[in-house]
Amino acid sequence: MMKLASIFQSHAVLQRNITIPVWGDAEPGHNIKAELAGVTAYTKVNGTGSFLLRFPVMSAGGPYTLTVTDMDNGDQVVLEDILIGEVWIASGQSNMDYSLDTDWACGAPQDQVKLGRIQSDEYKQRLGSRTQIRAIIIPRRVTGIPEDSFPVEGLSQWTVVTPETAGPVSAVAAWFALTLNDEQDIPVGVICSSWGGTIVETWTSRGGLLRNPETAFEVRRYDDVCKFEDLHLPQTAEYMPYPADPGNTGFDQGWAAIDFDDASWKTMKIPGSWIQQGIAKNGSIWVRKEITLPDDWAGKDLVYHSGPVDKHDVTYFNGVEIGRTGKDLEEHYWGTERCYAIPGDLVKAGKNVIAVRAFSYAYDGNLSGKAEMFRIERADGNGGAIPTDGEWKATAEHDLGITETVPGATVGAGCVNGPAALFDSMIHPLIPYGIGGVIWYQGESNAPKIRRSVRYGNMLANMIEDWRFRFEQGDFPFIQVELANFRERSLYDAKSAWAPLREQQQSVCRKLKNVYMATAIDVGEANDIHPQDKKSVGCRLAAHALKSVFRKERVAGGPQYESFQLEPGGVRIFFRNEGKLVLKENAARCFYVANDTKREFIPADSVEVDGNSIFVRASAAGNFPSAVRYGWSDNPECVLYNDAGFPASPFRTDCWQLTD
Amino acid sequence: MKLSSIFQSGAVLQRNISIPVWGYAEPGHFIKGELAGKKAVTKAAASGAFTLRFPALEAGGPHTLTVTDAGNGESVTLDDILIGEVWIASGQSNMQYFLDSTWAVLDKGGLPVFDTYVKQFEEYKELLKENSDIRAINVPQISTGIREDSLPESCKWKNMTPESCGDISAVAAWFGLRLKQKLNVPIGLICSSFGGTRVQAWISREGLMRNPQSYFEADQVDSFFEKEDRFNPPKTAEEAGYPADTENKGFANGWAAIDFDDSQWYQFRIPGSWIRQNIAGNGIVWVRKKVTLPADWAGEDLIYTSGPVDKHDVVYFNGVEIGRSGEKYETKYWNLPREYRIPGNLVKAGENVIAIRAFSFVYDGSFSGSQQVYALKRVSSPEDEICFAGQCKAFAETDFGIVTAVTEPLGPGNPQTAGILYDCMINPIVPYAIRGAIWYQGESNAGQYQSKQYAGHLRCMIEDWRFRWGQGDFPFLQVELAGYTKPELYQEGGSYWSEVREQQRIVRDTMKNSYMATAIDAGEELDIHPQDKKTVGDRLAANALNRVYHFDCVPEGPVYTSYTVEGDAIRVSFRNVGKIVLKENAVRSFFVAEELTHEFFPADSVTIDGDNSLLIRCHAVKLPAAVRYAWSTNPDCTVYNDAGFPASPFRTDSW
Repeated sequence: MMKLASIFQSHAVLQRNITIPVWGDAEPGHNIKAELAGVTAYTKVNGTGSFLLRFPVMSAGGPYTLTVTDMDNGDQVVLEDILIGEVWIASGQSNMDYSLDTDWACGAPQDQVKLGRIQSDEYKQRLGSRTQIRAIIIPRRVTGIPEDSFPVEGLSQWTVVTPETAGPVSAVAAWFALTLNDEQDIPVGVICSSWGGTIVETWTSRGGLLRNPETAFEVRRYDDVCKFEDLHLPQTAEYMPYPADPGNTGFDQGWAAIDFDDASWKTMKIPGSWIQQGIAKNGSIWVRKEITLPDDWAGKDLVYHSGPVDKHDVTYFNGVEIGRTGKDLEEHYWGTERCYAIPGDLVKAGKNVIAVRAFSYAYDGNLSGKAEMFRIERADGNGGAIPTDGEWKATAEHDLGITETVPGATVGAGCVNGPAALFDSMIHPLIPYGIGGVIWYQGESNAPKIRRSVRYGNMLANMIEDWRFRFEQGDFPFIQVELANFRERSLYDAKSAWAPLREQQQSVCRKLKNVYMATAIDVGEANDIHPQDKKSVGCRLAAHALKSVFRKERVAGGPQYESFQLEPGGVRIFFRNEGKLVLKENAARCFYVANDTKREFIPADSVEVDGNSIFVRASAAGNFPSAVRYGWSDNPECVLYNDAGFPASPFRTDCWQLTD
Repeated sequence: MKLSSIFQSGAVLQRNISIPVWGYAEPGHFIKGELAGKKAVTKAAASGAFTLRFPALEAGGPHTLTVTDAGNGESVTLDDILIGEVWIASGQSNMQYFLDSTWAVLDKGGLPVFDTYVKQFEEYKELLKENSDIRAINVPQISTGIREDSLPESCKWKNMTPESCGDISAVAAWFGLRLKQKLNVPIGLICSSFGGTRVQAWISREGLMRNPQSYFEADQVDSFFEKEDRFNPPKTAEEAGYPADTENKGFANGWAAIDFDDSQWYQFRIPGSWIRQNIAGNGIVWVRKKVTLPADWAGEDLIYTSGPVDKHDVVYFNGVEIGRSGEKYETKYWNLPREYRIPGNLVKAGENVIAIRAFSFVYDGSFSGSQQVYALKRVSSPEDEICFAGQCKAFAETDFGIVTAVTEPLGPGNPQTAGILYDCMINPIVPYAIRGAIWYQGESNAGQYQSKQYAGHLRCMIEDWRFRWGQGDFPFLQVELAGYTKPELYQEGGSYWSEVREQQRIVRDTMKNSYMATAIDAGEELDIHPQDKKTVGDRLAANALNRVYHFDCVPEGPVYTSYTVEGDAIRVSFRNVGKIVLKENAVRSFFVAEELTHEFFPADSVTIDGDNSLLIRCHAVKLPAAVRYAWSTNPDCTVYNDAGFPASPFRTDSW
């Protein structure tokens, strides 16, 4: 009858140097005794059957046994191989999700794909035979209610991270843990709780959202939705008003096969919507495209790239399935690009056929994105790309008509981005587990437009305060990752939505105690929102933890803009910085200067380092330049570093209103 | 499946905001609810806990609330649910003080004075006849040290009627009545207070952790887990060395007999405390009361009821024992009312005598509860009651003097422990939808070092509660401490109470939706529990009606905002709030400081200048630098507004 909360398992790491909470459920009124590392703690179960006790502060060490006993009926739980060390929560969206073994090479050049694999191999090799690094992956689920526990199975078990088990662990978290363990020689546990494509509001509790006027209305809207009886139920086939997938009948009819005759099928333009093009309404369709491959591609491994399929797809090459995304009523792949490997043994010279079965149960049904997202490349990177956009043959498999959409369904239970949805399902079950701190890599999904980006700082600060309050252990360290460079390289872009988001991330560091930021501004990729280089990010996060939390002497980050001063002919900019400022060659073109009257930004003439400041000149901005922006675009070029090799975060000296 | 015990038939739910209804069911089951035609659905978490959320509803009712476990068909139906305005009333003894509390104040001769409370109680009952649908629930005073999620089942919502309202917080009751009169919607009052407690007891561990001034107390809480016996009943009274009951000498002396001559005994009034009324200290006290019964009661079986006797009693009727509660060191009867049966053969027409032998080995010794419960009635027609409360005779059989209570160390069982009342008396209510909270506390935080930390603690508590309630920054109305102890115009160096009041004002001025009603002129020199709770409740209501409900009325007295030095005078400006009215000789409460010495002298003149400022002068001070007004533990209030609200004390300096 007595049981511990699901986070307490054998092989777990418990946080050193603070009192250790252990909680669970038992019979009301019973007395509970717990023993750990020779220390005993007692408590009593409350009227509704829950208990919580706290062990006194312990130092790093182990392995220990944790025994919890119900003294009134003898029930006992014994957990083995418990370590005391540093426990960190790793949370955020896809870039935190991205595991050591992830191969999401959507659109990435081949050398970048390789980088991910190289880093993963290096990691496993450096891991060697150590047993002090542990990880648990909190299951990704949305239940719509504040959960006190999670299903303990598979990856959601505390695991000793070894070369064999490391694969599914968040790459950022893994590198972070390895670096801490290298430097401190103490056990490190990471609790990975992240979900791709999610916004910060879903990670904040209902109470937290209500405390911020900017998010309170979203909660009220959610409450309104609850008036519709069915909407508050999880979106399973049983409870959702949407039709289930009737099943793949096309494959049995040979629609994937290379020699199938699709002459009678309609023509569909891709990218495009099959609903708008009259192929079918909601339901499932098939599309086929014949492509001709050069002779020297035969037998070579290929990569198939496609824009997002709204909502699910199964993709075949010459009659054989090469990949699939989405099932049941999952909705979160509708905007995700696809990328599947085509094994060489399927690849022939001359005619080959790609066939895609796509299913959409509501809203639009389409294969979308830019034309150039649809292409086939060789896995070895040679030979360029063969485009697959344009005209495809298409036919309906199951036309379900236009599904009636229920207003507000996207904020109902089951939607990952509902207010507090992931807080309830993926953070709440962890509270109040003793932790050393949190690492956080998120923000991409909060930056679709400037008008949303500029609200981020406020919301993130609110989330941090929310978590800190609920974890009951004061202002624990919170280390975030500044968004990586992404999209086409640009030296200046007034309409960038990512630049103001980075500015907001910086503002949180200034506003709240114990919040730090590692930058990924120079490790990103123009054509992939998920940079492969997670090692740099993990190590930079660890550098902040080592310096700011563990008080190790080191340079942990790059120059941070602090203030500016107008001087004749230019603007002087001061930095908070460890180490010496270093400018790359031809740096001036990355600094943009404006004067107050025109507020038009033009490249600077020159920039030079002077102690802990730089001086930016721009004669074209007139005699009185009044503002400088640096790195102000989605994908800026970094030319300002310190001598430890860390890039400066982008900044602007003005506070003029930004508009979309 | 069951609902958290605050959800009962007869409850009041908050209007106009979404309504959480929570409880426990089989893990994974779907839970459906229906309230006033609105539906809500959710699922029970793995621990079995669920929370339904109904959309905002208009005031009204009675409605039915039905919650069904769709997984197994179990269902709970609550009737007579009203939708209206719900407030939490919390704090220490002055919030706890019932409408019919018998904590009579003492006059200068040490005799109890009841007039104010008796009058106010009668007035309240009269008004209640025209104002129905005010309901209240008393949260039991528990300090087990375990965080509870649900109130004890025994704790019930009740509809306030002239007969049932006696044991409700007087401040809350007056506050609720005034809201009802103005808003004309159902009112729900959740009364959760505990006499003599510090604010830290009402803050959760997490809240304590966030304030450097209470951080160490949270650490202390963690140490409770170190010993096996901390969460179980501590020492027995016997081990604690409390005096034991002695042989019943009174009965042997004939003190129970109908014809015993008690003319030499002391005057005593029940309900009341024999310790406070100076009959004796802890020990055994006899009380005798002559009751005249009508002729047609003779020979009829009667029921004797009384309020709680702290701690044991034996009751005799015409010399014969009719019932007893408690023996040895039992403590469970101290707050339980009594009911005994009187056999008809003892009952005569005309004069009869009730004699009570009461025993208390520690803390107070008293007869408490409302007057009405001290009554006799016939079994055959219980509607006719003869009340025997009021004057009677009393005499000590054994007087142990005041027994020093063996103080529990901080920890389970001691309500002074940081976080403990949050865990037991607030957490089970969270997140019941409320409009706001009224708070009357601070006396127990007055003291060296302590006073100046009050704002930090209180702010922390408000943030803590607001955070946990998850309904945003709900209004928080506190009561500025009443005047108490010897009246003085000025106390050099201030006093702990002045400091606490200043801290209360800091909270009022620095937090959103945080307001204050003052009791500064409604206190009593000799009693920390002023009887005049009506004024306090009325002022809280005035504040709420203006600030929360946006009625066009004056919310409070003049509020000091700023000062300027103008030559030999200091101009003190006030915020808002009607026209300033000075009492005769108002200058006596103003003191002016000299810039160089910081020494304060009585002011010579105070004049109203302009709409919202006063000019204060003192001929002895050439370079005036600061003014203090009503700066003492029990000051004389001379500044009001035309709505009759006093200005809070203030000082312009921060020395």
